[in-house]
This record gives sequence, structure tokens and C-alpha cells, in this order.
Amino acid sequence: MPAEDMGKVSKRLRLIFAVSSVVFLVVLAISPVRDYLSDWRRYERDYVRFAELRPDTKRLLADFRPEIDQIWIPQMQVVDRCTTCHQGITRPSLAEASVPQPFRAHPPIPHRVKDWGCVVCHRGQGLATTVRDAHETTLAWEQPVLPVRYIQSSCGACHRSELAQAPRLDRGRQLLITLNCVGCHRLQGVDRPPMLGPDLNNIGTKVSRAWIYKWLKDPRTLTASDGSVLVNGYENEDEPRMPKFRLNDKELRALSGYLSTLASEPIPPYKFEPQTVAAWAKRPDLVMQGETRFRQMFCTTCHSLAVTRAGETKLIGGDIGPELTKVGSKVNPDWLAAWLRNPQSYLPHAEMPRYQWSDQDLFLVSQYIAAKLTDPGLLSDAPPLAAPSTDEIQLGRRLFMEKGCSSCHAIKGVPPQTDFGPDLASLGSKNASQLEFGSSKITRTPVAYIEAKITDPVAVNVAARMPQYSLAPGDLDALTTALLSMTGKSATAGLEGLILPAGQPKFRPAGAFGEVYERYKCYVCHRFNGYGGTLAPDLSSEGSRAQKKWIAEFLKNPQTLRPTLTFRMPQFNMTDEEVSVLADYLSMVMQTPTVNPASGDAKPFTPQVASLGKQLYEVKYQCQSCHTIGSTGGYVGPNLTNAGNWINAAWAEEWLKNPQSLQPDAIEPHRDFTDEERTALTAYLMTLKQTAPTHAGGGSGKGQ
Amino acid sequence: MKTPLSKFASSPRGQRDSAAPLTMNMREALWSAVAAATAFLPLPDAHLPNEPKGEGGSCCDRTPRCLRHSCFHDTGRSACVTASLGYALLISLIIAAGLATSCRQNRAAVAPDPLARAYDSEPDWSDSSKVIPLNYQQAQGKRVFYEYCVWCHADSTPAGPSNRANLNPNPPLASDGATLNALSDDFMRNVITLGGAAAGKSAAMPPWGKTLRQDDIEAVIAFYRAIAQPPYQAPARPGPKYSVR
Repeated sequence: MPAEDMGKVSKRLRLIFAVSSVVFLVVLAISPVRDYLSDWRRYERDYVRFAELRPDTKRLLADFRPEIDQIWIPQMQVVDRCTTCHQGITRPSLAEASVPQPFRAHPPIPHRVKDWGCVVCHRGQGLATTVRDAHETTLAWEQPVLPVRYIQSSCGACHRSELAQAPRLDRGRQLLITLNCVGCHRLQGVDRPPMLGPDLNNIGTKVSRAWIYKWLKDPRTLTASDGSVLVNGYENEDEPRMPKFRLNDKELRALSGYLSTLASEPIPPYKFEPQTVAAWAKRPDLVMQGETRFRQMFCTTCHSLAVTRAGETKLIGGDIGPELTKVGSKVNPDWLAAWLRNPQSYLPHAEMPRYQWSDQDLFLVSQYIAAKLTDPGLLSDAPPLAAPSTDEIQLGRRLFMEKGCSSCHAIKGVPPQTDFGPDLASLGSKNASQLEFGSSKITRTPVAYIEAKITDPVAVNVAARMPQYSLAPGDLDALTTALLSMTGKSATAGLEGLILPAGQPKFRPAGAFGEVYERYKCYVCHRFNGYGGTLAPDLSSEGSRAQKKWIAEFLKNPQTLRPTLTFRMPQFNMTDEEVSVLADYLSMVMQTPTVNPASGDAKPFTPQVASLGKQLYEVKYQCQSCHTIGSTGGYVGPNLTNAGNWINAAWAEEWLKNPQSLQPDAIEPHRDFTDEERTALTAYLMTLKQTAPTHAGGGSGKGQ
Repeated sequence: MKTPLSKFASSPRGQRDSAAPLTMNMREALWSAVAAATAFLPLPDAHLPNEPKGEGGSCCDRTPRCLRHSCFHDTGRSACVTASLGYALLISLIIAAGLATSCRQNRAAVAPDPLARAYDSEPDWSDSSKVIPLNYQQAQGKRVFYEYCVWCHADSTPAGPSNRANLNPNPPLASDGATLNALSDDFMRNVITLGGAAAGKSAAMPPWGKTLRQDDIEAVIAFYRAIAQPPYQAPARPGPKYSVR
């Protein structure tokens, strides 16, 4: 370098130095500027300014926590910094909707934010300090904040049993069971029942090949053009348990062919006594008599029928058994009579009770079903199907296994499948990277994956084997909530310790009572010590409540209970022996220790005391607002017309003391009666006796 | 970056609505400043690695001059100073724009559907085409209502017929805003807890204080307020503590 350039070089160096100094300063400034501009500082500044506008500024600013604020719960390994920005979350004065987010108070919930943190329920990243990292899926932080409509799934992560406060979660869990999801998937807290779909060993004796074809094509049988779910052509709120499999005509022919040949152990057709057939077959009122019997037996407590009233067709009846509007065109009449007589001989796990039929009743009812509950056009859109060829049967058998049918349906000689679909027991805790999105266009979040999968399985994976469900939007949300609640083993031992297990004690008595109990399937509708259905009253303490004589009379003639109710106890035509077994067992065993049977007898139930009770009943407490005596009163509580013959005095006294101690879900208010008032009211109730024993009062609602 | 204070006086989502366009403008302005600065700078030529150098004259003969070949001796210092400062400015603008982008990325959120965010919902009793979103407390109130209150305070019940017509005087419907909006929360709380007789109303209304928890009673009141038609307006200031109405 020439000497005369030296000055220039040094100046140039100076210049470079100056420039690099500027760059250096700028680089140095990045960190403090970023810190100053960070989301949480901005929100904190905004909060201070917001607090200054509020009437309770002093209070708000006194509680204001500058810098990063966190809820740290070491036992649960929760570190949530959400309160850094959500400053007002525990301030009751910031609850109104006019308070801007993120400062609004949390709505009142059973768990305090300080004790639980935020992420346990809302998900997201508690440690993150930017809005995006905390709420969304980023490369490093995979768990996005849960949409509010699925928030109940977080309740389910710990509360494994039914939870009244979370109706969506409960509905979803119920759907997981009724839709038989456990047939193919492993689910948390749902056990595989002994029977999911019907046993198909003898399906060929029950229905025709054309019916099977039509059913497999679309188990909704008929779907309205607007997409609403119809069963046999009538609108139904619920999705049928059998889902729609995407089968082509060849597959439908093969499967229907294979199934229609199945008759490995046919039940012998029931032979009616010739004199019954001779006496009734020609009578013009045969079908009408059959219908009357059908109604009297209260089949509609479990089965629904489509009824057209004022031009509108509605399904009326229960949903424990299948809908029966067109069953006469579905099943073989010989099969029908044999089934009605003994359902368990065809399906060992059937929940239908085994009625005591007289030959005449069985004939009348089966004739009514075959004649009236029909639709000649039911199978008109199925193609003509002849007897299946050997090839079709072979293919059908293969398809039966390939499509996973044997996950829910049993056929002798076909190995049953379990875990046909993926294990979903910890689906709720999966991150997006653990799920198979393939090349689909679904947003890469676990919630979007579950939504897409249950709405349209093929949208996620073209080769999906999962059948198609068409759920209502509310049910989709409920199902997603329930699936998200299955988080498997909790992330920390602290959370694992919080889980409240679901208890399902089974009530399976043995002996003579056990036999009658199984025969009439009492547990399908009634609850016994926490096990059984919820349609009818809980019988766990029936022995303390009702007098034995009343129980026996009721079992013989349950007809008269609450005439306005659609769901009533069916007429089982029990034998005297069965009645006495049931009445003995119920009154001896099904008792509650809260009620001392001896306490009622010693009370002085004089007419004076009873008349005081009457006055209290009618004037001071106005019990007639809810209870009926004779022909006046309300419909909320049970009819007390025959209370003296029905209820034990000791039970009545205890009930008046605290109804919820005897029946936790009773809706009768717990009132402050004095001891004298209680005795007087009990004395009055014990005087209420109806002379005709056929008009027994009773309760089939929740309140007693 | 700062939004005006008046935003707090406006609607709950006012903040987002006003912040979003502002953020957008600032970010765009910064990036366009970067683009403008780039356009005016004497950018270096693209020098290919195998480009012949120093043949037929110095690289400094080229125009525009480049920094890489230190050709300051014959281009004049002013151009160099401009270029250097320009680069410094460019770098700081890029950093600022980047910062603004990363900070403001998620402030522009779409207004969510109130029903999708609701804990539960209840059809409007007087107009079946409308659905009212409920928050957690109101949803709990709905649950309690449909268990205990529906029998007398609605015209149809889960079990079918209602007991309302049986009673004299007729209990008000839960959605009857014309009657219930005039009653203070305290009065409602008292009637539910202590019964009608204690509040000078019909004794047919039983006391629920020992059956329902205080939370449940608050929740039921919140539910009544949510479904009231005409809609309930909370009073500007709380009413007297022991109100008779």
C-alpha cells in the first residue's frame, strides 16, 4: 500500500469502526427492546392504565404483580405464568363482560384458580411468556389451548365417573358406550360388555337376505333428503348403534348372502295350542285384541313406535329396546313367537325380560305385530336376491372378518376380534406430531384431528376402515369432549393422585331371588345398590320404604301406577311364587340403616295428632302443591292417596327429617319440621288409605 | 404500538378491533421503509467467484462502486458515508420490523362465535329459533332448574305435563322478564332460600335453603336472568341489602 494512502486508510478504518459501533449498539439494544416490547410487559402496562380507569383503582393496583407472575404448585408440578397477563383472573370486581380480555375475572367454578392453575383445565403452555407460545401449537410447544366448547373434557381427566356439572362430557361418554366404540377401540374407563351387537349365529332364521342387504347398505334404513336420521322412515334423535359401512353392491350381496345362510342352532318355532288358534284365528277382532294386549303390557316402556297425530309423525316410547314400527316386515313370524316367549334362547345376553305368557296372549300379540307393524314397501328398493352362490358365501365370510364385523358380532367358527382399531385410551393427551394426518388438509392440532375423524374418517385417511357415523353437531362436540378427556396416565404423579375413579359395583344376587331378578331383568330399569338402569325408581332401600303387602300387590298388578305416565312397569304376569320371592327379598334385604323399622310403631298416632297433620299438610306447608290426594293436588311428587297402605311410618318420619339422606337425588325440599310436626304429618299420611286395593299410589318419578 | 385509552371504555372486544388495523399499518410501514431504503442504496454488484479481476483496468472503474473492493480512493468519501449509514439504517429497520412482526403476530384475532365459546346453551323460550349462550354459572343454574324448579316454573317439563296450572296463584315462568326483572337478586335469593311464606308470597313455594347449596341458588338466579324475555338489565348499583321487592 503506497504511503500517501495511509491517511485515507485510517479514515476508512475509522469509518468502518463507526459503522460497526452503530451496528453493535443496535444489536446490543435488541434484547432490552424486545423485553420492553414483549407481550406480557405490554399487557401489564395496559392493565395498569386500565386499573386507573376503574373505581377500585387502589385495590387493583395494590394487588398488581409486576414482572412475571406464576402459580406454582409443586405437588402437581404446575407452573402457570398465565396470570402475568391475565391479571384480573381472581378479582371478583372484574367479572363483568365489559372488562376487556385478558383482564376479565374467571367465572366462578368449583376449583380455585390459585389451587389448580390454568393449564390443568385449559391446556396450553403454562411456562410460555408470549401470547403465541402460550396458546398455540408451535414447533417447541405442542399443546394448544383447548377450545371452550371442549373444556369439559378436562373435568373428565380426573372425574372418571358421571359428573352432573359437565353435561357435554356425560353425553359424550354415554355416546361412546351406546355407539359401541369399544368394539374396535380400547377406551379409558369403558369395559367391553359381553355383547356389543347381536349374536349372528342364527340370523338366517330371523330375517331375509333382502332385509340384511338393505340394512347393511344403510342401517338408518331410510335417510331423508335433508340428511336427518330416520329409522324405518321415522325421525329419530339418536344415531343407530350400527354404523354405516362403505360397502359396494358386490360386497353387500356377498355379506347378505353369507349371513342369510347362518342357522347353526335354530330355535324350534313355537307351536301354538290348536284350540287357541282355532278359537282366535277367524275372529275379526283378533288384531285389535292383540293391540290392546300389547298396550296393556307396556311394551312401549322399552320400545318405540311411530305414531301419526295431527299430520305429524313422531316416535313414541322408550329406547332400551329397538324401534318396532315396521318389525312385522322385518322378522320371520315363527321366529317372532319363539323370541317373545324366550328371548334368551335366541340371544343369551338379551336384555328383554322373559314374560310369563299365556298361549292366548302370545298368539294375539304376535298376530298383531305381524299384521299391523308392517310396511309392504320396506324392502322394495333392495335388488332381487336369489339363494347365494358358494362364491358369494366365501367372499361374505372373508368380508365379515376384513371389515371388523366380528369385533361386535359373534359367529361360531369366526375368531372374535378385539382392538381392531387403534388404542384410544390416551388419545386426549396426544400431541399433533403423534397423530397420523397423512396428506389431508386438516389443521395440525389434536382437536381438529378428532373432529375430522369422527365426522368423516375418509377425509383423514382414504383407506380408513372406520365406518361412517352421522352425528348431530351437539353429539359431535360431546363425543370429541369425551375422547379428549381420555388422557391416559397423567403427565405427573401429582395429577395421577387426583383421579376420582368410577365405581361400578355389580349387583348380581344368587338364589331364588337371583333367578327371578335375571328372568325379569329388573336391573335394566331399576337401580340396586348403585347398579342398574335409571328409568325406574331406585330399589336399594325399597324394603325400608314400602310395606311388604303393597310390594306384592304392586308386582301382581303394576298397571295402576301414575296413569299419565308413558313409561310404566310392564305387566309381567308373574306367578304367585315369583311375587312372594321378590317381595320377601326386597322387604328383607333392600333396607337402609338410616330407617329403624321399630321407631314408627311406638308413635302415638291419635286422631287428634292426625288432624293436626292434615292442617299442616293443607295450610302451613301446602304439600298439595306437589302431591295429589284423591283427585286434587299437584303432579310433582307421588300420589299419596294410598300412602297409609304403601309407606312404612318409620320411613315417612325419616323422609320428612331429610329426604336427601334416604335418596340423594330426591327433589323434595328438605324442610325444618319440628318433631311434633313430623309426627303429626306422619300420622296424617298413615290415615290415607284407599279401600279399593287396585288404586295403590306409587312413585315412579324421582321424588317420593 | 399503544392503543388509545378510550378502548377500555368500549366493547369487550374493542381492544382487539382497534389494535388489529393499527398493528397492520405499523408493520406494513416498517417493511415498506426497508424496501425503500434498499432501493436507494448503492448495492454491491454480484461478483461471481470465477469473475476475472484486474484485467483491463481496476474493478474500481465499474459503476456503481462496490464496498468489497475498497474503491473509496476515487469515488469520494461522501458516497461511502452514505452507503455505510444506509446499511446501518437498513439493519436497524430490518430488526425493528422483525420485532414488530413477532410481537404483534397474534393480536389480530377473529371475533369468535358466542355459541361456540359458550359452556352450554338454552333455546329462547319465547322464540324457538333463537338460542341463548350460557356461561358456566348459568349452565349450572340450568341443570339445577331442570331438576328442581322446572315442574312449577315452566309450561312443559321433562316428564311431560307441568304442575304450573295446578297452582293458585300461578308461579311465574322462569323466562318471565316482565315480572322477574323487577325483583332484585337479593329478593330472589331470599324467596328461594326461605320459601314464599317468608317473603310474603304464596306458601306453595317451598324453602330450598337446606336442599340446594348457596352456589346452586346463585346459579339458578343467573340462569333466570340469562333467559329472561324481555332481557334482564343488571341495575347500575346494587339494590338495598334486604329488599322487599
